[in-house]
Amino acid sequence: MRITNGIMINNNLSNINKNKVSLDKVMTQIETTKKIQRPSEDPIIAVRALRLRSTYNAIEQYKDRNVEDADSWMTTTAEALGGINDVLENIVYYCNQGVNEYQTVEEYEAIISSLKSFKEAVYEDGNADYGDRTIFTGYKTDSTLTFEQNDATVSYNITENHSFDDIDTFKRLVGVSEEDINEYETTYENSSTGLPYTGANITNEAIHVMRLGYDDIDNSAVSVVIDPKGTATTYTAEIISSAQLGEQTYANIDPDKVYLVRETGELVFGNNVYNMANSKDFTVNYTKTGFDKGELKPEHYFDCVKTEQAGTDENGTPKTKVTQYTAKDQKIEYTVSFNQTITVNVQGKDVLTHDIGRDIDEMIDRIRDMQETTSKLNKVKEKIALTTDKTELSRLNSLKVVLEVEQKYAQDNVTDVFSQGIEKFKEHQQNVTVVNSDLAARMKRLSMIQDRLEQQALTVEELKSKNEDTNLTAAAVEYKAMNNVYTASLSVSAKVIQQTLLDFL
Amino acid sequence: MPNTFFGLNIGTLGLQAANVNLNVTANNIANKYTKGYSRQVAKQQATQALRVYQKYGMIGSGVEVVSIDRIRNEYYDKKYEENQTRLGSAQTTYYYMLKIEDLFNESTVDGFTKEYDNLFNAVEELIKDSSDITTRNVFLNYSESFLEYMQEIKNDLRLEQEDLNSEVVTNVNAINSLAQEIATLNKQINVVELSGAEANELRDRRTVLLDELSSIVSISTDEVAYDNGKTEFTVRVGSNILVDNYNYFSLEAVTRESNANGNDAVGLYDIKWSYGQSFEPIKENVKGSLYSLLEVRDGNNNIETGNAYSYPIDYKGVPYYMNQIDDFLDKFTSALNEIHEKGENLYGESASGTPLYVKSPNGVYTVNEAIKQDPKLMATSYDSTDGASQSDLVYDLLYTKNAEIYKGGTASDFLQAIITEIGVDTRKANNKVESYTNMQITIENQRQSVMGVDRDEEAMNLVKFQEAYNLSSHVISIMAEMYDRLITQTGV
Repeated sequence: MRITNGIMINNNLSNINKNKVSLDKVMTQIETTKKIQRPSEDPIIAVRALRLRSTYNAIEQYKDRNVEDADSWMTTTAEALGGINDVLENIVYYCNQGVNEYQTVEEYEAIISSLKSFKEAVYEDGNADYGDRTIFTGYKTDSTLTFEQNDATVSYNITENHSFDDIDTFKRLVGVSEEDINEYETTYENSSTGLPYTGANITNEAIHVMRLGYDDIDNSAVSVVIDPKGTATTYTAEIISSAQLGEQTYANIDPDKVYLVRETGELVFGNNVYNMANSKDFTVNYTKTGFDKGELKPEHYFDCVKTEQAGTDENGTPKTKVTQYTAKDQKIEYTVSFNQTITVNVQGKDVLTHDIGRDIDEMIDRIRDMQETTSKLNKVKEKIALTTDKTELSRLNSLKVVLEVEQKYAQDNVTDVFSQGIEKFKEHQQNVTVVNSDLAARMKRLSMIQDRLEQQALTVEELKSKNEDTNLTAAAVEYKAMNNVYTASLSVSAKVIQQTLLDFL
Repeated sequence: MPNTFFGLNIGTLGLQAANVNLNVTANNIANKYTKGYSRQVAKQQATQALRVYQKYGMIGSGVEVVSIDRIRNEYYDKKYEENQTRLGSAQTTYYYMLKIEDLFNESTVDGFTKEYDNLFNAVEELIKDSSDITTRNVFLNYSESFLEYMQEIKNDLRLEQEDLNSEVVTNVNAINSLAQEIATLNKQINVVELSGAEANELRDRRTVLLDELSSIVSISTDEVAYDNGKTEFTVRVGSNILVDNYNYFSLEAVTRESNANGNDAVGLYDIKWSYGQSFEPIKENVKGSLYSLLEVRDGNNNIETGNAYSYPIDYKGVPYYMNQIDDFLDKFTSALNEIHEKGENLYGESASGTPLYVKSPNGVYTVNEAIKQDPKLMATSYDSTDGASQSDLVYDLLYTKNAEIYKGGTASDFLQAIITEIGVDTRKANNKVESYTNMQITIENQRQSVMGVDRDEEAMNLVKFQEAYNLSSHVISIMAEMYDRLITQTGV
């Protein structure tokens, strides 16, 4: 083949250019530390890089944000649960004190005020928040667990679901009325009780009672449905006020009726109803208007319909807003890893039940009963000291005997309620412990997930680097080699194209 | 017995021939680097021998130069032109695919996969606190940023299409001016050659023009020679004649009346012959840079749009990628909207009729302005009475991230498929450019091997013809001496 200088120059240029291309590629790889600069250089590396970056991004989101947030939330919850547990512990301690019979009135007064403040404190703990979001209220993080202010207008129609076990059997004392102490009556023996008749009658009968979530229930229809999912027997509770109790007495309970004591929110089951309800579920529907500060909001616990004032319309007529709530599990779940979620919250209904407050109410009520009895007895004792009339003196003396029995009953009831209280609050504490250990287990799981995520992040980062990053050592060696080739080709070309035949003629 | 001055005459002829040869060599050297120049040689032959009626018969009478020819193998020119067509095609495709690739470039900058991931990170944050207005705003902003990013790519693609379109015109104009020059050259060549000479330089120039033309459109040439030295030169593009000896037909770029593809830039050109017939390189399979321009400009991945201006073009060009983005956004927004509209907003009202994303009449996707104004209108739960932190709806939004709703794949699959398609097509074009460039060098070298001017060869010729010249001069001076002896000194 005839080779002209032109061909040689062409080939030289083309080869030098090829060397430059290679050199440039290695240089760029070193300078950018990336194997490829654009997808077309190697579409497979490019797409794999995208995938790995997406994965890495997701891991970072889980690891640095979701897990951290879940952890903060759970830590806050654990602290709040600790607080609740402490309060319950204190209540148990006071119950133990209350069981002791030899307490003075002042001491009981102190117990009452302590119990009241514990009730407040325990519910106050339920309003704990994390970054302005309440933690025990399920999804309703913008609403506190309890009412923050007295609200006289808001009204709830509440449906409570209960099981048979929620019905307690308590002794209720119906004592001597204040009027009996003042009135004159002829005394004689009461054949049935063996006590001298004083015109007063006392009973301390066991009754079947369940406290609803709230007291001060509206005087409107209250329905009790026993076995709502089965035969569904509906009772309409007979509403009585505690003022009526003196005449009607717990002793006169119609066995086929259900009563509601409005002021205390106690549902009293007649014997027959109680037996019928045995081991069955039942629901209670009632309405309550006006709530006090510190009371639990029904929407966190029960199916309910809330009716509240919501401004006025254009005519100035107040408008009402009706909201229907359905009680359901409100687990706040965070995604903490690929296809893995973790429940971060503890729901107030699992730890801070109405029972805690109502059990305290029960104790306070029984102490109050006893205080009343004691004050009646003291009154009679005062009268005896001042009276000279013999008949009256004998009446008062026999009244004193009756009241002493009454006081004994009242004292027994107090002791009973406190010893039951120990049980109950230990149970409440147990609830908290169970929830707390569940939370601890979740936190443990979270920390394991976090470890795994750290590991995954490392692995993916390594894969990512292997896939797209330049191996600097290899690249540097290659650069050196390329550079040698390039300079060699330059020096050879320079020599070859310089010379012509003329140089030698 | 020949003329007494016969020898002197031969010397003169030799001197003249050497002179011509030296001039041809000088011309070769001068044109060593002239593009398309083919080396020339003076074709010389011995002149008619004289019958001198001697015992030895005939006697040579000297030398004459009959013609100056160019040394060229036109077979290689054809091969070169064919390769130019392929190279022109590949280079154009490569150049524009690189630009498209730059729009989608994800390997060096954060591109749409990053935007997409950011958006869903915002969804993750929203799950954790759906009641927070700030979190809602962050999500809405990332949504907007993602939609804008995708549509920015679409706009950039449209600009790309406009670039391609204006280059179509440039190409059409180049074809016209080349055709005109070729027609003019044809005439000049005939003028020269009818007088019996060879129009070497003109022919070289015509070949250069044909080389240029063939990189734009594939051509076939035909030259018919007549006895009188006249030639007729025809250039065909596909089945149509572009240059018919002294005449040429021009092409025109005509604006389309309506868009072929929904997202197309307005005012794309179709090409027509000046006599009205339309010229469609893709349908007629006339390769070259024009073909590639149209392919990238109109390539719709073989989809029948049913539009009068569009026909299936088996290439993933600008319209294809614009449609892919539209498709994606359509699926993305409708999937999220469908979930959103089932929910309830923070005011406890149903979000039905309040989509998260809206599409304007001119096809632009944005975040619903009402929601942007008041993020509380965004639904995050199916039942708002569950509470502000109920985010079951947001969970469903998150699930769309990896749901296989985009042509049977997830969004990342879909987006990655685009990257792969562009990457592979660009790489293919690059490979073609490389191999056709190599082929170009090979063919050019073969061509040069025949037609190229070689320094050493010309130096040799220079020495050779100088020597011939010197010798002829010697012949003349010796002859002169001889005459001097004979005329002035003999017998005097």
